[in-house]
Amino acid sequence: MKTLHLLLRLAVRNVRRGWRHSIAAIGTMAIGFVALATFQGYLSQLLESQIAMNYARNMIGDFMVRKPGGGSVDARVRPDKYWLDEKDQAFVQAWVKRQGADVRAAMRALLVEGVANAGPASASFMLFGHDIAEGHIARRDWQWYAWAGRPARPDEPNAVVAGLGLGQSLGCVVKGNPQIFDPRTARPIAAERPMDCKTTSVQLSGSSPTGRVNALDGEIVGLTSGGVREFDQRLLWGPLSLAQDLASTKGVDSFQIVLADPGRAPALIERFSAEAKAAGLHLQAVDWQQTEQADLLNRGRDMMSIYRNLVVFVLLVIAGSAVLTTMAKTVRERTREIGTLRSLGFRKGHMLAMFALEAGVLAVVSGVLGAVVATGLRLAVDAAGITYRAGMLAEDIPLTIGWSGQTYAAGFAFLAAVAVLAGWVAARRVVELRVAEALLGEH
Amino acid sequence: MKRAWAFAFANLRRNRKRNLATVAAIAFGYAGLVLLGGYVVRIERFLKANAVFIQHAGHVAVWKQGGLDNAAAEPDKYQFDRAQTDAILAWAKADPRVERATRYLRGVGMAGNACATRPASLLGIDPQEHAALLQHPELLTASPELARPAQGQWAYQVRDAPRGVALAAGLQKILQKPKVFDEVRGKPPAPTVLDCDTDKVTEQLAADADIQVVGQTYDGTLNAVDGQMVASFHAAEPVAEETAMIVPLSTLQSLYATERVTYVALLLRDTADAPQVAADLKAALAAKAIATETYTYADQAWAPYYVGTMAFLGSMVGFITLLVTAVLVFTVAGAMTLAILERTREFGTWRALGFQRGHVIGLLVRESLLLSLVGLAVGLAIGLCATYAVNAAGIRFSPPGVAGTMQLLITPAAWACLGQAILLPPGIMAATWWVVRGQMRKKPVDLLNAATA
Repeated sequence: MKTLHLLLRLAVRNVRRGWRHSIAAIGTMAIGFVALATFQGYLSQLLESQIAMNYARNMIGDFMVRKPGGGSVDARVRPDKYWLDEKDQAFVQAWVKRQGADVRAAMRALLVEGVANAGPASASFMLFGHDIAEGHIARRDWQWYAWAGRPARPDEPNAVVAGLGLGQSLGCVVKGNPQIFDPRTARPIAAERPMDCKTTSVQLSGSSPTGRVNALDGEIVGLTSGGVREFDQRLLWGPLSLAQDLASTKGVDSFQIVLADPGRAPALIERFSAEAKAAGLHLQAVDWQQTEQADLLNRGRDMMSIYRNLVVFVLLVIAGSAVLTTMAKTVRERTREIGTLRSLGFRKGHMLAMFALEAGVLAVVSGVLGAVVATGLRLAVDAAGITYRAGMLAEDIPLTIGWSGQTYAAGFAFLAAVAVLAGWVAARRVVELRVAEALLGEH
Repeated sequence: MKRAWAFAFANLRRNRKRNLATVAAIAFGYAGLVLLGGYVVRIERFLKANAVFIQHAGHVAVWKQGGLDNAAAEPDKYQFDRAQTDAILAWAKADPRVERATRYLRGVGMAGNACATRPASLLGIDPQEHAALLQHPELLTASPELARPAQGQWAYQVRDAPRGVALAAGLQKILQKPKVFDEVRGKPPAPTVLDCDTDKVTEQLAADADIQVVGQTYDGTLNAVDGQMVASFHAAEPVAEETAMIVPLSTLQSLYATERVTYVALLLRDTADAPQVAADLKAALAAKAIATETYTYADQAWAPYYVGTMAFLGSMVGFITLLVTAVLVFTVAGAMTLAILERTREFGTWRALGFQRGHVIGLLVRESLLLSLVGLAVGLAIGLCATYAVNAAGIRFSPPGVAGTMQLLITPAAWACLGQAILLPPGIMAATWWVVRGQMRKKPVDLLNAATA
């Protein structure tokens, strides 16, 4: 411990004495840190904000309950085989009740597809029937989700809210060019904006599992967006009873469970699974992100990982080369000093440790400097209010850079590891010299 | 100063070891940019081919005025009638910039298998015109796999199926039609009435490739047509994988009892002509009292996925390039600072021999330029080798917004490599100039006695 303390003091002294060399290495590592923290912060912020928005806009629970195999191709062919019947629903509702304040809402949902007709216009739709009141809770901070018109109310059995694309196909559009988003919250302003509709009455045709075609009347009360343009072409939100009547069933596809503390989801999933199994029911509690429905999200996340890995690799090589150069120069210039220290009784391991500590000290200083610059850059970018378009997403995305201690710690650890490794590699050969050779500077 | 470049080159050779790490940093940084640029170029070609040929956007598309927004709601009012369509086709035929014109009819209906029906998004296109699109060199170069069906053959390849339709693979699965027309030809047909509520139905459905399409004519009458499933395909967007269906134009027109078409897409000999062709076509049709709106494949409203994805990739790559360039510039600036400090006495000697400040600065800037060029050349070689390795590995991945998987291919373009290469030397030279200039302010005697050397 005492030796380590001495070596650390020596390392700090050496960094200070060779400050010109140190500045070059610190500059490179600091900018490397800024690049890593900024890029990682950008990616993580992008993912987190998109996931949070998707959960709120599409009423996704912290976990969902469905039949095993729900969401599979077979479930698309024979959906009725995967519906939760009334007994299943009663079990889930009783379980939710037992959880008390842990569960904020348990929203039942049923997807029905069909064709909507409004006068001469017709378009295919995907009706997401759901409990309107519970859906209101599941929308979290997106409770006003109407671009025009208004959200559906629990006491309206035929009220539907259409995706912008579907609405357009049925002759219903946002009137004029009103301001929809609150720039402060990036959410729709809670105010009823006018719609321009040829007719708000639509006939919805869907078929039951036995092939019987049902037709029901719906009333478009609002226009909305689920966040993905292609999705908006067919999106329809409405009351669960409407979807059940169209499909001639009392069943539901799933329950979306919204928790008071989303962090408790894994524990509650486990608890639910155990109790359902004990009750002899084939029900599955699952995180939405593990389902087929999260395919787009997971693919996007994989793509981001490719970019991130490429950037990390390039920075690793660049920062590693820079530190290696600096350390090699430092070590070479101090061959005689190494000889002196060796003749005073310091071992090879001590020498290697000293240079590794020097590199570590450089990494600490670089990390602090890099963190300051990265924070400044983050604040500047966030304040600039830049937006950009992204693939299938319906709206522009604000360019923001997130902050997380974890990211900064990881960036620091990454650079420190590179620096220490570079210091060790640079010192290894000189330390192997005999003491007499080192004293003569024969290197 | 005579022989300044030779002098700079000799200095670099003299300090080979020191410069090696700097060259390595530049080379790996640039190789990373080459790979990234090559990936973006590949994605751009793929998405463009996807938009133009598979999503049927064409290089230029012409719609009736207001049609893009309203054709689905009011097809009679916002789609082209026969005379208007002929006028567009005649203009396209007469214009040498246009390679071909393709008519499209869009609509919705219910696709059925005699037991159950599913909503379907219908795209009507003449099979021969479809053939020309799928055999287009631009598509085959960008991604030949896009042109191939997932199963079976396209309608133009199956002569004895006059109403040959193609279903998106997801819709095919849901309708439980595992075999296409070619696979059931000459085999015993399914019973006239199927046992829809029994286990026999799966086998009965698989016995033929018959599909029924039900829709509403433009005057509101329910209508139906029969078709034979000749192929299945992966839809251009995942959302359409369970709804998309390609139907011969004449079949879809008979379903809706109309002669109208929704839009006409033009393929051009030179893509760069697209904005001008779009403007000229609009003006020519306006002169014939046909109010239209024209779009190119690069219009956000018409090809949002292509435009949005490229904007996103552009932002991402720009951001990464900026970061890597900044790191490289700082790295080289650091390395040059060390080199200059070490060589302070050497500079003092030059000054004492009569070299002026500008000469020494110029020499060092030349050295940094040569260093950059060597680094870029090595980086390009590394990048191209890595490209070859990645392409040969045959890695497949699932990008968001594309049904199925695609091969990870990197196709570096000369212009992209050059553009990224041009970014680096000025930054590196500026950093060197800035570092040297500070040192050269000192008097020669101070340089000669510098303790840092």
